[in-house]
Amino acid sequence: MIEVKDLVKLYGERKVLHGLNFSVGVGRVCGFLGPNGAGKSTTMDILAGLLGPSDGTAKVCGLDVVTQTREVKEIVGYLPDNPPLYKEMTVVDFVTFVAKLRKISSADRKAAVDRVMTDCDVTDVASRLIGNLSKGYRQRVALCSALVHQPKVLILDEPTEGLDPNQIVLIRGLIRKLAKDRTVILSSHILSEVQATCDDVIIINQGQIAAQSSLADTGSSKPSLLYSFSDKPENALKWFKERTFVSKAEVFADRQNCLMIDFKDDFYGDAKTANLAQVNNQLMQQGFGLAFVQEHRTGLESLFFNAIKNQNSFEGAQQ
Amino acid sequence: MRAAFTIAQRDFRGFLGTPVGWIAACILFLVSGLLFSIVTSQMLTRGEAVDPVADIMGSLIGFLNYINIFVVPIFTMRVMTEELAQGTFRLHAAAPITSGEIIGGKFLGVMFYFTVICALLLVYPLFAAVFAEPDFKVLSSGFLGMLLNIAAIAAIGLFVSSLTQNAVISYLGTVFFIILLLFSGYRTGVPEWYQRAVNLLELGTEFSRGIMKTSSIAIYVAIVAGFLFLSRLVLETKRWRV
Repeated sequence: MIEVKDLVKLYGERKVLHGLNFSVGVGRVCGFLGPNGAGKSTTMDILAGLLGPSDGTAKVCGLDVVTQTREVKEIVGYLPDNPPLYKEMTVVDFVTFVAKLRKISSADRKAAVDRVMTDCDVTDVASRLIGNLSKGYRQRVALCSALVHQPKVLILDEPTEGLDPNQIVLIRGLIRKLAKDRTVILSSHILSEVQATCDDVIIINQGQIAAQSSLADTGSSKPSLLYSFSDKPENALKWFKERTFVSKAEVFADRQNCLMIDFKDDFYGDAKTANLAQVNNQLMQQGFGLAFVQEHRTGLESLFFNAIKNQNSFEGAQQ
Repeated sequence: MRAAFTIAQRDFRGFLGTPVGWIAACILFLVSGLLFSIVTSQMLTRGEAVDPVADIMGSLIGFLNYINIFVVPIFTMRVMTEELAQGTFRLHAAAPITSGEIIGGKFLGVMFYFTVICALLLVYPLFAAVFAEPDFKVLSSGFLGMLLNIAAIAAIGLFVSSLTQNAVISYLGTVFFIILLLFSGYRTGVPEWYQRAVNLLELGTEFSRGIMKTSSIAIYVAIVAGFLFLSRLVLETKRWRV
């Protein structure tokens, strides 16, 4: 659906994208994650046909963004990070205007406008001026303008930026609903945002892809366990290290009096809960002063920070 | 072409949806109204035989041509510079329409507005018609000249506005560009055709006297077409520049 090969973008002397390579399939929600200034918006501008790449190719549905820009624009819906809205227009006038710009015939226009306004849940403010709306509504109106022509590919640049938690949940739900029959790319610098909405994640840092993965992989099915104690857990650490079913036991540095334990593969499986109960019972009997136990997943956060850290040290080494 | 009309229509309604359109209209009507009453009363007290078109409307249109150099750039600044700065331009850039349609639409939007203003200014000659018999042929020539003048300023304004995202630079840039263009005609040694082509005020006065030369219209058409083409180039290359 979207294929990007060796994408390079220069802003004058400054190289913003250093040869990006990635592809996104149909019906997937792909999250662009990266710190501010990583090149997320530039990549999205190129995919939407607003910017020309300095080198490399980008294809949307098999159409080249440089040579077939017009066709690409027809199938792409783009929501830039600063939503383009005319504040002096009413919501319904604005969406109708965008529908006209998108060359939706006058016969279908009203239906298209009504449909998209219902989808984005803005019908109750249809006749109000955009300038008087709250930020959440404005964002949804902007989303209407990106969706009115039923694009096959939806590109959203920080769609939940500056919204309150309630509105974020609404927009997330909307994105998931929209993703059923189209490809969605969204960018964010908020980890939990991407975790909540995306199937795949591409981490961009300094114009390069630092890591790329499917979110199903990042949430491992074999979580480490964190054991918190009321006192210093040296005895417990020793006890864990002596067990045959423990593969790794170490002090968890981020929290006081806490151990991180990895179990061997045969510990997991159908008898996992029974095994855990047994371990906990034994721990109680030892009297180490166990306070509580929780699962620790190596999630997106560690992927993100590792990727950025690795890349920075790699570049440091190069210099 | 439909897209151009869509943009023009939106911009026109945008002018009326914000104070800018109303304030500019107020200024133009206030200035022209004052001038109309001053010119009329002066001529009447001097006891001259007054020709309502050549004398009164002639000086009125001449003065408006001058004022428009300062008023029209407000509108071209709004439709280009402000849209580039506020990001609404991306709405056009992301839609499957050509740069030509965008520029055409912006130009037509400004022209719609000033056509309406000009139509409303007809109130003066109509008022004069109660007391005298204005020559409507000369009158329409004067209004055509004023519209052509506005078109030339708008085209130059769109070009300058497309180059910057700063409203002040855009406005002052357009005004100074036009003033420099006017002055450049007075330098000694410039060819005669150039002198004639850049003196938009003189051309406007010719029209208000009822002199409609093909060459004058050609000059305006050339200026409008040339600067719209340049603006289109600026937009077209925006994708590749930084």
